[in-house]
Amino acid sequence: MTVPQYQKVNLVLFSLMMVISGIAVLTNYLILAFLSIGSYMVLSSLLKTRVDGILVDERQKIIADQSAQTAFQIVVPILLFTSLILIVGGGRQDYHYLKSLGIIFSYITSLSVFIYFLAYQYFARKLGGK
Amino acid sequence: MIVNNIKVLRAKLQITQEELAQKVGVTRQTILAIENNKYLPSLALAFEIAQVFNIGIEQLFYLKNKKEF
Repeated sequence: MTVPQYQKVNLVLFSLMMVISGIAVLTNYLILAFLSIGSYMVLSSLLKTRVDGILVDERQKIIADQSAQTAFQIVVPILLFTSLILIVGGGRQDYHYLKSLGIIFSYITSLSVFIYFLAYQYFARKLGGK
Repeated sequence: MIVNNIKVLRAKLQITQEELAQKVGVTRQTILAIENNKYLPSLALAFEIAQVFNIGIEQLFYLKNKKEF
């Protein structure tokens, strides 16, 4: 299978997965949504092994790295400020649920930073920085 | 700034970007980006490209003063 063929098949699979997931969410059948996402991931990775040619090279890896870094730098401060606003603003009795949401967001933020820290340490060690 | 003369050497050898990309195991877009000095390849890739043209890496990539542009 060539790279353009793979891209076409992958697009069809992705569209199918999105349609099934959408219908499953609308009909409140969440297991089907998870199953379709899981099946897509498995099928897509199986297809990748059959591709003759280069799907990802060093330049694309750098692009992916920088995109991930940018996404992290945007998402974490947004989550942090949202959680702070929700915790402070949700202090009143009427908006108690907002405080809970803020606490959940703060946990997600902490987890993201912690995973980033672990990944950073791992790659620094792997690439001989320490 | 590090620049290269891959385009000239490729024209001399009469090989396309696609062919060069296949020889060194990257995508055509990467060769295009290197030729346009938008992307600086890894040392391993630079050596592989130099090997295709059968020249030294310093003949392929060289430092150029920014003012010269």
